Amino acid sequence: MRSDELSRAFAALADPTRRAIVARLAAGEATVSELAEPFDMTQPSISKHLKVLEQAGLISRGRAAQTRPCRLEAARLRDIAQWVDVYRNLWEERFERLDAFLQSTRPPAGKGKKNVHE
Amino acid sequence: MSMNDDQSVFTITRQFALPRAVVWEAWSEARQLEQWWGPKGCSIDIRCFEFRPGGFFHYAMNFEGAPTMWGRFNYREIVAQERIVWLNSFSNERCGIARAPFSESCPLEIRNFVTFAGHAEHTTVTLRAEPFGEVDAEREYFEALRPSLEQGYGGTFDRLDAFLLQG
Repeated sequence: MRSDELSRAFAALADPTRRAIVARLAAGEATVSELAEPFDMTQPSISKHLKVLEQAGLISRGRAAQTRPCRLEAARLRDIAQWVDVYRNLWEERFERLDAFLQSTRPPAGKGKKNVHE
Repeated sequence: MSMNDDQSVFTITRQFALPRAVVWEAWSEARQLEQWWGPKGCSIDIRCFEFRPGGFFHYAMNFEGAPTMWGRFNYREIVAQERIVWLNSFSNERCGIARAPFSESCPLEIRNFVTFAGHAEHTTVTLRAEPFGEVDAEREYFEALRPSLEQGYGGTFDRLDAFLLQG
């Protein structure tokens, strides 16, 4: 994946509704009306979100059926997950070094560090 | 330029058992930053450190037995002891932007948002990040332009007002 495609995919996922749509499609194909229902949104506004997701390569839409069901493009999501994994490792290591550095410059306070990983 | 919790795809949080002012210094002072920023097995040489919005932090990354790589920050927003927003990228020797030496698909720039919170004893550092693409760069360019456009129009209307009042 090219880097501008990656940033387009991230931009698409920056919206909570679009993330929820992706989560819903992870459970299987769905039509626009099926997607619109749980979100309490009109079909045109759902369609707008779908267009953004489609342009970002995160979903594709069937050509054959009238309803044009949407499905997830797993490869693109995997690329994102991979980037997030790499970046998370990088930052976990970096925070380790920062913590070690901070501890080395301070007299021991007698308190253990705490980790919060989300 | 802001980013709230729902918007971020990548978030990592860590708590440090130190006051906020101490943790902040590790980010805002060159001599401290160089000691921990570099990737594993790398020592950092600072070429330039301008800790202010628009400023650059330009550094060489020296790995044993490997060619030097360069990196840079372009600071966007700094609020003392609260937040730093910066674009991080690989660089060349002249502080120009460069692709990752090892990957074509690595984002050219990554926008990082780090926030500092906490009291006397503990500091919570939260880092959010996202690839910063051409689309974002364009949008930001226009956002940056807007105040000067408004000022430009504002000035015109002021003059128009003055002219009309004269009449």
